[in-house]
Amino acid sequence: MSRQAHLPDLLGAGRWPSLAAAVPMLVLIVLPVVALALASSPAELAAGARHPLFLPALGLTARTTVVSLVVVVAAGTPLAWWLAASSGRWARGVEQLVDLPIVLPPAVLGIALLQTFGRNGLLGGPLEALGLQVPFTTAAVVLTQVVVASPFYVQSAAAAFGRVDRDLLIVARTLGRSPAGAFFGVAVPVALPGLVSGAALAWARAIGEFGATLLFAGNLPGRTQTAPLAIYTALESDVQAAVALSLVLAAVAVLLLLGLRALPGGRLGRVVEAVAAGAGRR
Amino acid sequence: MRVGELDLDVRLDGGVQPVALVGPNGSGKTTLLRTIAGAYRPSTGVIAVGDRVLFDSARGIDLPPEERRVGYVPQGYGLFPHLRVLDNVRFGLAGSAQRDNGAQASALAVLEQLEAAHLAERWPDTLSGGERQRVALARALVTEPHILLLDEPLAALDAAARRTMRRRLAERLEESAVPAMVITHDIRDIVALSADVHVMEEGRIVQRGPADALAAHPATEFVAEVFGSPLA
Repeated sequence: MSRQAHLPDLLGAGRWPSLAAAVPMLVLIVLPVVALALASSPAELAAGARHPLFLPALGLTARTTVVSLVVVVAAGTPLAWWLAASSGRWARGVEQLVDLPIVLPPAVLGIALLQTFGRNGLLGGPLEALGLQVPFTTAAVVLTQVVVASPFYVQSAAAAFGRVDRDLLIVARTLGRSPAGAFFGVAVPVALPGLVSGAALAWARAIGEFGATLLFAGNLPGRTQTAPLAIYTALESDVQAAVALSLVLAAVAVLLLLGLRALPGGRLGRVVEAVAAGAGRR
Repeated sequence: MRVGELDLDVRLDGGVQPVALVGPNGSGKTTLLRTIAGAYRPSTGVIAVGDRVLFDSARGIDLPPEERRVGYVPQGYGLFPHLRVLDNVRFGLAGSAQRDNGAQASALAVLEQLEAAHLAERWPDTLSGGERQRVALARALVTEPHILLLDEPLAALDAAARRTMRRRLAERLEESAVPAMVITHDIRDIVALSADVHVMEEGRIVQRGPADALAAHPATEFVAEVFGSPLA
């Protein structure tokens, strides 16, 4: 009846040829995940989970990604706000810079981080004078995650801040709020769905970080061997452990994806505001 | 943002008569309201409300918006979507020294005056255009501003609602006794508000006066077009 209903027909989306042409891509995306899920029996998975690499690697991934997520949000939010509030060539240029870690190959990023924080790197001298060694430490793992994950948060947050009606902020100011008060009282709650989805994407990217970590932080069990690196290591000796770890990471990823889809849109900001207001009244 | 030259000398006396700001799209009406609110800084000039100077380039005075005591109601009303009506109205009181109960009571009292107390627990996206307008007015009035800045307060309403709302708005502005500056496109709004008209074109005030005087001696084509039709 409506015009929209005819649109798929018009574009041939409901017809067999276009459907058939669409299937290969979908199969390629879904099939590996299905294969992974079917790869092991429960008994084999349980055995894999008892592998000595399994728990330390998962624990390290959990700890480092939580820290890197906090850093990404804390340092990325001011940058995102500046990007959203600024117009002009400078801001657009910075936007491009923020995307660098997405387009750079992870191996290149690993080398670049070594050239920055390594003994002979740009900051090597000052760091050594302070008695700090960054490469091949847990700090290097976190640093790498921050660099690779931050673009996902910053871009999403900047877009969300950009959609906040400027009039809302002017009203907040005329109602007595300082710039910071308007930011935390209006901009953040209104933009919150975008901030949360950006943080979830950044977290997913940090959990999966492999290449740059391997080069910059190494593969030291207990210190820098995160779950993806443990999968890589386990694959040489114990395929079941690798599959078990992979399934755990896949489950986390799927949960993140579902969580993003279930985000209750504009209501989320209200929930946070209500919690904050409740805390404030006590 | 470059606002351009703006030669404006508006005086409001007693707050009985609202000032209606009329002009074609892009003439700078909204920019003017936002400048008074403190969102934009003029390169030169003086902005004063009553005896209170908000901005004076010569003396280096530039009060931030939170100290200007202006009630700004933007186009579309600008209700905070993440706050219930009562919390929207209370927003401007939360930072003050008032106790929470006092803030709630005064927010409810203003909502009551605007016949919107029954909306207190509603979310803004469930309100009709007229209800939003009343809530936005309440939110602006609760902080006891020295001037109200209303950007097209009737534009978001359908024709039937507009007819009744323009009369109610006129009554409310009179009751509140707060001087008001109202942007509108509609001559019937001006007549209902018995407003003193300021016509703005390309960032300048080209003519001012009561609506019938403008109709009798239009200074520009735009004025003739808007005020040319016989007044009802």
